[in-house]
Amino acid sequence: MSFFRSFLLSFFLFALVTVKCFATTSTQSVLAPSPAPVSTLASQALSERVVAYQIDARFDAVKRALDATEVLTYRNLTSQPQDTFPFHLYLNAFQPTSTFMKENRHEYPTFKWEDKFKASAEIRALEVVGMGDLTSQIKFIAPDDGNLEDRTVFQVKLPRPVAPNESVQFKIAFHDQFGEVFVRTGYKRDFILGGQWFPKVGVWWQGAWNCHQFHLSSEFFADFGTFDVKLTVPRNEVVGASGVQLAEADNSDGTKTLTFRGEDIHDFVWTAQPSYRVVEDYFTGSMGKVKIRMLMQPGHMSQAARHMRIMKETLKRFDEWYGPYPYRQITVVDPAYGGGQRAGGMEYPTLITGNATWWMPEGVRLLEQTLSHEFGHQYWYGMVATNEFEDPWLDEGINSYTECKILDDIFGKDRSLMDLWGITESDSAEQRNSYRAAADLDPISRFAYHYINGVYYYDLVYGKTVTVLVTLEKVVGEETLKRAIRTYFMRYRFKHPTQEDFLKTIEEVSGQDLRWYFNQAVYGTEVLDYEILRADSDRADWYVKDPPAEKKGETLYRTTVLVHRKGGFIFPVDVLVKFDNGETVTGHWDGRERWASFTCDKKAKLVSAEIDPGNAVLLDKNYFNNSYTTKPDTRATRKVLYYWTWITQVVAQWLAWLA
Amino acid sequence: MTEHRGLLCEGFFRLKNYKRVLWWMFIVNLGLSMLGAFPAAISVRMATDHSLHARRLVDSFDLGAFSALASDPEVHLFSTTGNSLYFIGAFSADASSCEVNLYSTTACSLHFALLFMLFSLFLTGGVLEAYRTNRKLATREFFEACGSYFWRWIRLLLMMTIVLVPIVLLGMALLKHTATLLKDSPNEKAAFWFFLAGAGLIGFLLICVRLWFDIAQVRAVVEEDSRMLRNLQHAFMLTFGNFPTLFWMYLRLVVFGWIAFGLGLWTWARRPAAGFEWTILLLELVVLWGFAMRLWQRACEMVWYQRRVL
Repeated sequence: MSFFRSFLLSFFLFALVTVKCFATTSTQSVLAPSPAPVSTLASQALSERVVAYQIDARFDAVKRALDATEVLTYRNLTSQPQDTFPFHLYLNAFQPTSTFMKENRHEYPTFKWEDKFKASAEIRALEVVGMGDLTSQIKFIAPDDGNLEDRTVFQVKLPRPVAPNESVQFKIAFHDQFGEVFVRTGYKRDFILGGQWFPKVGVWWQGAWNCHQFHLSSEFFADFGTFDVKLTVPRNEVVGASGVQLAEADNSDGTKTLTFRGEDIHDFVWTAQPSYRVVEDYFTGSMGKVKIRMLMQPGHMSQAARHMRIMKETLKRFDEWYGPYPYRQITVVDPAYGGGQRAGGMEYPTLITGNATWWMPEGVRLLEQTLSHEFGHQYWYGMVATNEFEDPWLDEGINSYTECKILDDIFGKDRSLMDLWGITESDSAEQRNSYRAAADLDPISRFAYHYINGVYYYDLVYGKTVTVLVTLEKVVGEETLKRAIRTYFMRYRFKHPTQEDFLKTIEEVSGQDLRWYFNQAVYGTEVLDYEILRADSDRADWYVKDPPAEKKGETLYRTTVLVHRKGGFIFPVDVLVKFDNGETVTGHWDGRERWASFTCDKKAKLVSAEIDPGNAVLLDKNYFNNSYTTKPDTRATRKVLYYWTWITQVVAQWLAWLA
Repeated sequence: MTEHRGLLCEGFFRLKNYKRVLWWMFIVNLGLSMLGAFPAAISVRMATDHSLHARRLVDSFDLGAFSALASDPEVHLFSTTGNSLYFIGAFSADASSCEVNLYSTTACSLHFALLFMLFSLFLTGGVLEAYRTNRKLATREFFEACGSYFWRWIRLLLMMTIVLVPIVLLGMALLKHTATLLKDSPNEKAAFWFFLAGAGLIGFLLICVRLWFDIAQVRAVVEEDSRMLRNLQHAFMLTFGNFPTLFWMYLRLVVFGWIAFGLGLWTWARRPAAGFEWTILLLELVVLWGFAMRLWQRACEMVWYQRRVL
């Protein structure tokens, strides 16, 4: 090649590279380095930060409406060019013809629609930087059920695709009208909780867009990123939000603008009420100091200490057992009573809502259960951001399990949920009881909105998962399972793992093949129920015509214990047999056959036989048939008989008032 | 009759003089209630008598274990369907084959409670006759009096049912408004206070009705009046013409009764986990005290009527 040609080629190549480097089209190919985090305790970004939301919102407390502009910068890390983007508009679920409301009516046939619950999110304008106004390209879709009246998902097609590793900027002007709280979001009197209030882009997951409609039993799924939110509210409002507050400025029109930033989170919520009482304290975890900021109702201030106590105890255990809480703040909201409590018992990244009441005694630990649970969601869902539509048990179920372990550790295993007037109950027992009600209906691996109904969704996703995991402790050991869950957290935080990721992690850490268990417990609906069908001791010399009198310690007996697997779930169990000379014999049964017989010749008689002594197999549907004693113990029967009698006496006495 | 004794004091002495009726009421109440509770016990015993897990209900009270037991379909503890008479068959049935879900546990208890109510109604004639004569009636005399007034009391009961209808409707409106306040009131405790005030009003109205019909019964015995409607009219004028005295007498005994009830439950709640026999004794004393208060009221009404009218 001649020198001149070489020179031209080089020049051409140089120009090409130079132009590419400095091109400012609708896509950004050079990413500015992230500033140091302000809302986390880390020194750098914790997640891939697919999205960056900048929202400037103005809330009208009189109309309970909000106008905002959102700039969403989306980084295309999908490895494919993308020209279609779906968005969630969750607030539109609170309309009578939405999928959410139709499912609600189907679940509760006596439900009557009231206009006060109506909420909406309206896109006023949508522009893609460099591609123009695409408002007319907005198209509502119903990917789950085809309900064209449902407006909780829209998609927009771009005139040209966004290349892999490049970013696209959406500028969206929207208007929210909040309704009275039906569930999670809305107002009640002067309380407002703004949840799922902004257009939220779907998640590219497993090779496709994952952007489900809002269902009665489903929750949410979104990518990690940053949120820079400016919220303008009346000056008398006390405000809480995700992330941390960076600034507050009074405006001349009687409002104030608060600036929040949240990093490495996938949702942003805010709340406001003029009469919130703020209580703050700190927890020092392994990554540093975390501010616990509580927004309490004035009438519940006597319970502030109770809130703070459980928050610190929970934070401590999560930090020690599973991994550090990396955010600088956790906000705890006590929602307004009455209908406002429908916003209670909910989780958002770095903000949770409780459910205090003025009358809840200390011995009834529903408040502690709620707060411990909702904080746990910071880990299961907040950081390990599983798909709540498709794998609800991975956040709700695992979280319910860790909640049980934490409450057991704080309050004692048998009284973690209640200890009042001699009546006790454990959290895991309550979860087990709810699972028992729906044991054979749906596998926990089901999509959230595919369960037979909302009540059984709760029973299975929460209750059965707890029961499955506590039973799994018997197979792999409690400490091993704890290590496995810690490994799962540390490996998959700030990612979107699947149920197989979780199950494989347990198998990896335990070193065991657990498919036999997971196939039944997670993917199946088999019921586990073992019973003692028969247990007795017979004289070995039964055939002798005039046998000698029975003598303890001298007469030989053949003891038979017959165990039966009533359900379809196969699980290995121990069988403990006790004799009247104090000896015990433990047998092991793999449960594969429908029944098994254990025999033993001894100069002692059977006292009791018990399957799974210690009741470690929580999945067993009925503990009462797991054991048999030769000598009846009627104390429980007499106790029930007596209390039932007494209640009948009192009712009879009150009825006799008519005489 | 000793005039120098106060109303409550004289009433107490009449109650004391004829305290056997108190024991009859208590024993029949206990007996009928035990019969009503048997289906529940039979349902439960099949699951608990030979089960080690049942110890969770004995040592303390494990609510999780109890609710697991109650919701077990083979136990079916809180069933309300089925015929309560089937419980009789359960005594003789083999435990392993007994189909306990055929008969109703809750309905059975309710049936026996109603039966006791009828028994109390039956006894009222004899009780009032004994307090009227202020002497120990022979058993035959007593039950003759019970029988002779029973139909009159049935008629009064029917009339009372009619009178109670508006109070029941008021109670339903109270509950509805409480639910509304619970959802919408800016004051979190408003619903609670409203409910308490409403319950107080309902309680007051119920006391007024009970007092009126009590005086009607007393009058029917003293005047031997068999025309209940007329009796009721006279009783109305008597009761509300002397309302403060009668209400104050009645209220004190109601309050004594509820204080004892509350104290009993409070003591029970603070009992140690063991000591079940002590629990039985305490709770039965509470029931006995309730009957004593009611009979004391009847005695005082009789004394008042005899002093005021005769």
